Amino acid sequence: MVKKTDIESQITILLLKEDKEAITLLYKNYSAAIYGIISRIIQDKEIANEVLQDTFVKIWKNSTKFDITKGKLFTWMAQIARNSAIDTIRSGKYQRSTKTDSLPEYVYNSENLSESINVSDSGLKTQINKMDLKYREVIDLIYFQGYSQSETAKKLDLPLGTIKTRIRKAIIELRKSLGNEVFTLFVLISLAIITAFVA
Amino acid sequence: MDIKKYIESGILEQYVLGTLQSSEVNEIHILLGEHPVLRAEVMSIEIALEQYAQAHSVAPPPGLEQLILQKIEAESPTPQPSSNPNNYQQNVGNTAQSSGMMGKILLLLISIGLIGALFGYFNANEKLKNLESDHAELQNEHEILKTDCEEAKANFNETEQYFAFIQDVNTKPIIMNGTDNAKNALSAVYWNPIKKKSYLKTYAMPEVPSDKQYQLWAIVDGKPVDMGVFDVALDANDLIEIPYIKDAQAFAVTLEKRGGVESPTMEAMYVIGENS
Repeated sequence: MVKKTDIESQITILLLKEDKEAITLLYKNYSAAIYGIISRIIQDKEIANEVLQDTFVKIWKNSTKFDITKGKLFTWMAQIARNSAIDTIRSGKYQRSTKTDSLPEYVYNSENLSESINVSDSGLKTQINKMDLKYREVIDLIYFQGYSQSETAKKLDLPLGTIKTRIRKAIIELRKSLGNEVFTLFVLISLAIITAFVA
Repeated sequence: MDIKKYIESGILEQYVLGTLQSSEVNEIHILLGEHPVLRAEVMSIEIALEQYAQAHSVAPPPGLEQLILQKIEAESPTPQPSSNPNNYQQNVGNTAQSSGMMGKILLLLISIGLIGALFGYFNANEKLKNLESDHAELQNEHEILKTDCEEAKANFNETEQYFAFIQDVNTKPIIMNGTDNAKNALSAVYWNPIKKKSYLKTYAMPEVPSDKQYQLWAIVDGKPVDMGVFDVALDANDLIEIPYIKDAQAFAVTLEKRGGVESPTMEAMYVIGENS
């Protein structure tokens, strides 16, 4: 986890310097998570592959626009990926099998998501699987399938206010499951600093 | 501005999820600059979602990285790392080397101490927030249960009163049987001259159109006295308290226009019973 924080600042610096090494590192560390988001919005593999490439090219082109004071690197990249995927769907380049013109109609399926959890950290995996389905489905629809809040409300047949409450609840649950790792994070950062000083 | 309320509104989660309008996003950017607490909160939400995304990783097919690098190469033909990427670290190294060994160690200890305190703070803060949110939820649930309980108690008291009234030896049922209009109709007035109270209970009354209502009459000295209108569907399970009439010789129910009439429509009488 800390290794990640370290890599994150390294990549950020490389990006700001427009050093292509940044893309190699980004790809190594984040392509699977980014592809996870894209492939849930776009089911067609060929098109998902194209969107992944577009996403990285966009990241590269906009690298100097990344503003660390406004958020983390991953949030920024995930946003670019999600927007690219949704734009692709809306552009009509990608003919969906369904008639509606808003968003994919394939039904949210929690089992599909659970199956594809391939994280090495079994603790986190257990925590995620323990999460109340009603919170997970909201996060999954918005974060992984690119639904807007009102589309989510319509899809789940719930009032918009409930969706907003559930978003917050879901993330609080997620944060609880990460809370235990904070101490580890501290120890590892301290180690990183010691290493930096010794080196 | 109430930071706590702002955080609890959930807008920061929506910000990280990217579901906000650009005007709201601009507002948040300004606030993030002003309130470090909000930045810490956003950071924590971002970490949570990043972990969530990492947990749902899907490995892209091999070969894509090469294609991406080629595309990027095509985008910017002249390689241009503006300066040596190691400069940053070298600078850090130089600063450290310029101070003495003791200074270095002191700095190191202070850094670790500070980071520790910071994490301790965020960790405790996080736990407090969770507790607060759990507490609010429980309080809410408690309120709901309390209301339910009070409602049930009131219902029970009412039922108990009805039961006591019906059981009273001085309570006399006046059964009202159906007329030719509805042979199977059945209602009753429970009449208690000691307590000077009476209740109406319907057992079987035909359904009526919504513009009509049943009206109860007491017959006193051969003349009908209005006792009020009622809806069967709504009150079917309850006793309906009616005015106590001392000298009622009989009770009858007619079907009238909604709201009732001044004198009964005799052809529309549904049940009648004598007070013998």
